[in-house]
Amino acid sequence: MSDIRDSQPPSPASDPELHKTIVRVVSGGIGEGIDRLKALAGELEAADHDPDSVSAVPLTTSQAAMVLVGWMSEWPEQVSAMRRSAQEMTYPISWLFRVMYDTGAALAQVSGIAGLVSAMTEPTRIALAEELDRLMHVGTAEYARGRVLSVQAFERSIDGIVGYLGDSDEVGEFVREQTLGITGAAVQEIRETGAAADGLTEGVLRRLLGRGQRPLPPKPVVE
Amino acid sequence: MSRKTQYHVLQGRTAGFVTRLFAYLVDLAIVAGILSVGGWLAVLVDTIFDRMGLDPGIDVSTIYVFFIPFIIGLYFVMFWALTGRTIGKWFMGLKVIGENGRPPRIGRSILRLIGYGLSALAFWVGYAWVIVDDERQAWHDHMAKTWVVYDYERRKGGEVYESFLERH
Repeated sequence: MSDIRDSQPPSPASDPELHKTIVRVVSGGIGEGIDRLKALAGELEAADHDPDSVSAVPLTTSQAAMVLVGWMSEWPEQVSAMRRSAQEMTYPISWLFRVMYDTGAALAQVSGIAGLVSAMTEPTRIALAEELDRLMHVGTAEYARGRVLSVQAFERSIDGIVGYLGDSDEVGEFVREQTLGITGAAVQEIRETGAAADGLTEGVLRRLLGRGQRPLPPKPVVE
Repeated sequence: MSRKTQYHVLQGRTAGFVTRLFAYLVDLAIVAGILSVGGWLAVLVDTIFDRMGLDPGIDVSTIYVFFIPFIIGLYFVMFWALTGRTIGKWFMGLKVIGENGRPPRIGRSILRLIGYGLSALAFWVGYAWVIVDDERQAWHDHMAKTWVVYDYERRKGGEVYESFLERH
């Protein structure tokens, strides 16, 4: 009989879809768990995820969480892109940093330069906000899918476990043995308590009736 | 020697009053259940006959009432003769045996049943005779030459009071 354990499991690193599914389920599962705990504590509040765009940095906690989920979801692509960019941009960046450092050091001597720097970096900040906005929406969508997936995975797991327990002869035999064992022990306890009570009751009543103890214990009748 | 001691041999020794009483009560409960179901069925048949407009001349319930002693007797005699244990005795780990150590035969079982009735008629003194009898026999046991013995092995490592061991 083929067993799932016999086959090689696919690697999340080599399968982006599997990776995304894992991220979805994990993030959704964590969110689901947190929400259920909140519900249990009576502190469940309306979802605080801001569906609006990221218009400024820094982000709120919820937005940051969604950005993180989105980034984790696209992690393989992000890493590849970063690696590629890093390779391509090594020399231009080092050159740019040097120029920026020298220019910044010179401009820092001039008053009112802060506004100029801000104007110069505005396109970068807008690009960053857009990227974060995109990642947050990816993360929100992945998180929503994950919530559904985690619930489905949980229910399927429970169904699978219950089905397995119901179909397994070994489990059935184990439960039967345990039940019989517990019942047998209880019956044995009743019997032994009864046997002890026999002797005590008989001793007391015979003494009250003036019969004394039985003269000889009767021999076992059955070999 | 310590007050408590290891005690493994219980099987085959004559059983005392408390254990036998519990077995008897279990049997009574079972017989009462059987009779209730039988009575319910008899009333059901009567009702069906009545609805169908049939008149058998005598109610099934009335016939059933006459059969009650027979049903009770059948329960006890059948179990004694076949296995030496009623359900109550099986539950309490007891067994009825004759002089040969085997379950009583049908005739001896019927005699024991008659003794059951006599023991009960005498305000159950016949049952309580187990307490004072040197061989723990009730009246019906004397009549049918039967003994009720423990028929299970005590758990290993179980402890009982030494005085109890000495008296048994």
